[in-house]
Amino acid sequence: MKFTDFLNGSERPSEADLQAEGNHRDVKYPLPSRARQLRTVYLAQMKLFMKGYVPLTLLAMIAVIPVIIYSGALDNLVIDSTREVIGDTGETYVAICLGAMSAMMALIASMVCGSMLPAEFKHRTAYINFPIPQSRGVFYIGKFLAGFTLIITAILLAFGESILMASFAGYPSISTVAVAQALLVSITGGFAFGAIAYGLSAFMNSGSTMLPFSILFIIVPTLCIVVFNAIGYMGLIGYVPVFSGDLALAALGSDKTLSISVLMSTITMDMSASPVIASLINVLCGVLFLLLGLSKTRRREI
Amino acid sequence: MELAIEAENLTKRYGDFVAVNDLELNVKHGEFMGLLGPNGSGKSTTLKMITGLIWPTSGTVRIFGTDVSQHREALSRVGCVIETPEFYMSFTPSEALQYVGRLYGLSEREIAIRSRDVLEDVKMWEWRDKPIQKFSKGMRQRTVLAQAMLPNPDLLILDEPTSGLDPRGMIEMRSVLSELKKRDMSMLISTHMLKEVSEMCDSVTMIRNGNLIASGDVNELIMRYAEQSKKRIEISIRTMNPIADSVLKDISSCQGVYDIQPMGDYEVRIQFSGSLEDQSVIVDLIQAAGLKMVAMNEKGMDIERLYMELTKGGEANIR
Repeated sequence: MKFTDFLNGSERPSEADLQAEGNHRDVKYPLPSRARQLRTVYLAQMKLFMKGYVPLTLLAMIAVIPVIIYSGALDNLVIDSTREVIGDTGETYVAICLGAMSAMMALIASMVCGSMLPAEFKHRTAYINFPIPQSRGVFYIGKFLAGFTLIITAILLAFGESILMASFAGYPSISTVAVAQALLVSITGGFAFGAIAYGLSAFMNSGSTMLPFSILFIIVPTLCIVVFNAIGYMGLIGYVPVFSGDLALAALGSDKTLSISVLMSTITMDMSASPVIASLINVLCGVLFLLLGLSKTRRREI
Repeated sequence: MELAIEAENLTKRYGDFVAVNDLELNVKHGEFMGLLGPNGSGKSTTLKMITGLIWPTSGTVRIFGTDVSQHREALSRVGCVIETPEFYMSFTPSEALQYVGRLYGLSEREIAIRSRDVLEDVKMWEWRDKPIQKFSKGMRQRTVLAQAMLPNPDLLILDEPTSGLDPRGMIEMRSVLSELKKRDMSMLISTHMLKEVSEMCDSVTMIRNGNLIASGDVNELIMRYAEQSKKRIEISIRTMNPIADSVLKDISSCQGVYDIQPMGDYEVRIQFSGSLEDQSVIVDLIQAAGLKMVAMNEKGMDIERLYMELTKGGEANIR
């Protein structure tokens, strides 16, 4: 008999099952390994996501790309002029499709990772999760991994869709190296964005999408642009994780991106940073924020 | 005997405010203990320290001999319901129990069997595939209790398990908990329902303003307090045979007996303020006289009066 059938009661339990029930009443169970507990928390969080609105919102965001490109709504306003500046190749077509990468990464990371931890306290589910024999670290990391999975999925879907659209548009080739570099920076950037939003949320009592989004998309980028420009180190700005979206598009040959830099037209952005080194910095920054949040979660009294 | 919970010098301070002060609390294996006290007396804080939700400022908590602040595994033998917890609302009870069961190390098959077992215990089996968000507070409470019972814990820690339940729900919950007593299990239950305590618990710990004011066997505490405070109880004894004057005379000379009043030939009412041992002497006397006892009732000091007396005014000390 299948487990689900048995649990759903769609099949009557056999005599052996009834016998087993008696046997199980006084059984003591050995604790699973941390890896198994991590998997359990991860799967539960994924199930929660699937039952919520987040996956649909992500799919809607991804679906907007072909709608905008094929409808021609922005052709006269943005796309044609951008194409004139950055050139018309397979990579730049992909870059145009991914023009909102910075905003998308900040929004998805904030939406997915900014509120799942505080929600545990707000909705009192922490009182189920914390007084059981799993470490808070396992719980914390398991939830983050589920959030990161959604972020990666969104990035991969956006890239896959854009590359497919470039193929349909008739471009004979797309630079694999450029796409790989852009993808690397985007994924590590997504990790950093998610980790920053998640780490910061450990300090909050109620979750927020707007606060981490404002920090990742507006406040920190603006401060960095102003400060780096003032001290004359604009060449290093691509190494700041919040500019991962800009750097990914730069790897595809585009210096036009929907980010705060658009509003600061008097300052010239320099995205000459090495994508590999920037990716390493993204990972380090993400780990740092995760550790910060982990430390707070471990000490947190509820 | 192995102690299920051993809390030593447990103290919790928030700045200058002392929520729990130097509390000693021992729950023996197989013992059901009630934790009583007025609102804000430190009951929930104590339970949270025991289950590792908050850290003691000083003192230690051991569960079955293992320090819970150092080893989370100590909680593998514990089922908890603290501070009206909630499950993920989009989950069904089956999914919620599957999640908790996996964290405790149950196999899928064991989860299926145990889920049915505990959901039937709390009368939620027919709701197992409905989303929890559609449940009433009482149904959610029962599902949470099922979660606590799922891994076959040796120790249950419950914080006001009947709060928010309607009278029927309360009675059903009490019957579920009483059933647990038949298993080899310990329980620490914080509640305002004194009836629950007197019906289910072997012992009681009372705290007020974070301080321990009384701890021990429920009946012993009642008798001890009655004895110390000179509060009298009325013991009524009914027999099958007429009670002879000589027996009445012997009873009236017993330790702790203030007054004795025959109610016809077959019943006697005794005004009493003595120890349990003194009370047993009276029973022995009746039996030695060849009288068959039909009933023996106590009136006067009970858990409610004890609670009211101990939680009012100055410190009572009958530890």
